[in-house]
Amino acid sequence: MREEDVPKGLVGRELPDFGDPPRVEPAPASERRVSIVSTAGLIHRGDRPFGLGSADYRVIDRDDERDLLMTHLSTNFDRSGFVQDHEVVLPLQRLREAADDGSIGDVARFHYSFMGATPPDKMRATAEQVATTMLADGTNVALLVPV
Amino acid sequence: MSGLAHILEGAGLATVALALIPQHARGMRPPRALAVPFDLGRPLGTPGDAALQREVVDAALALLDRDEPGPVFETLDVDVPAEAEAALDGWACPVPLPADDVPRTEASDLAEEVGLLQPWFDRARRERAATSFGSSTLEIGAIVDWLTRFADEPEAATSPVESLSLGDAMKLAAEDLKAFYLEAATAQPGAHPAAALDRWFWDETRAGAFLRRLKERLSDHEDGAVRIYARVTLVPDIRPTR
Repeated sequence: MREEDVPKGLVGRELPDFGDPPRVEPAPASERRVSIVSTAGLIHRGDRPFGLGSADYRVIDRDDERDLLMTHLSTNFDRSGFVQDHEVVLPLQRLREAADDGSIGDVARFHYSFMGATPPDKMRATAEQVATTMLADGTNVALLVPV
Repeated sequence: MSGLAHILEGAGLATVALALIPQHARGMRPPRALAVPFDLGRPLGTPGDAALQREVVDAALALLDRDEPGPVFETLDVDVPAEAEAALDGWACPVPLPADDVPRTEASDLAEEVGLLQPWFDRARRERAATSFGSSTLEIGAIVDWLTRFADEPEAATSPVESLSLGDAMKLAAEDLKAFYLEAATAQPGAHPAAALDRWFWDETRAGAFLRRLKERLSDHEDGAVRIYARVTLVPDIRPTR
């Protein structure tokens, strides 16, 4: 949202303090293998749904875009954009295009979905596990997409 | 999202985060963030606008090339697509909903409205790979039946899904009810701006009015989860701006 459009109820809250950000030196563009990390509570139909405050994650397979289900529990955002075109939340095709024209090296096979309303500290263990899996898969860039 | 960026970068991945609430990203200072001007729920912009979506992706990934100590924070400067702005005034419910001048029961009113939308929902399901309907695992008829009975006798209700608590079932069934309407509405051709859809659902449909009543009836429920869900999550307090 534009800063001036953000409702007053969303600003002024106490935010978690993560300190100064760490910095990993990114690989050159042509060597970047990119994975999306979404907090939209995305699942494939049939996966376990997220519960309130879930700290776990689901795996979204690059090659299995059928029947994606958004299960984020907040009512404060519009889901109609996602159901018309899931690229507005999970831009896999846009990343494929970037890989095709050489803007990035590759699109990772696996992408990851968390439940956005969960406090980030509660997700630390699972997020670190996801990072380990990504690195083992050759992924070196995470594109984080809120909802 | 900013917190996850700290954690993932700390574990060895280069990260770049889109930010829908710029003030949060400024405050939490992820390694690289691109603030986008879109409404909650549409972080890449407009459905069907591949060029805009690609612009967002490219602008985000370009932050990886910034050779400077973090945090790197940029704002994407794009205009809201003209098509969506133009559609705001003219957008209307895609099917003629029944007149509201013959009061019957909530269940029959809702069932009638759902029935009018069902063909468009069916079309959406046939043609789309993505959905936001199905979290509760209940079909729409069962959702209407159960939610209206819950509203009639709040303290007598039990969860209709064995694996879900009463609170979770209520919340997910309500989300599915809303998802059914929005997916049916957006199955019509043309642009569907978030604000117009939001206004239609909450201000013009029986389902929107029902969910407002459900909030009132369940806000003092004896089940703590039901009470909290009803107070906090049944009806939005943030409305799309465009």
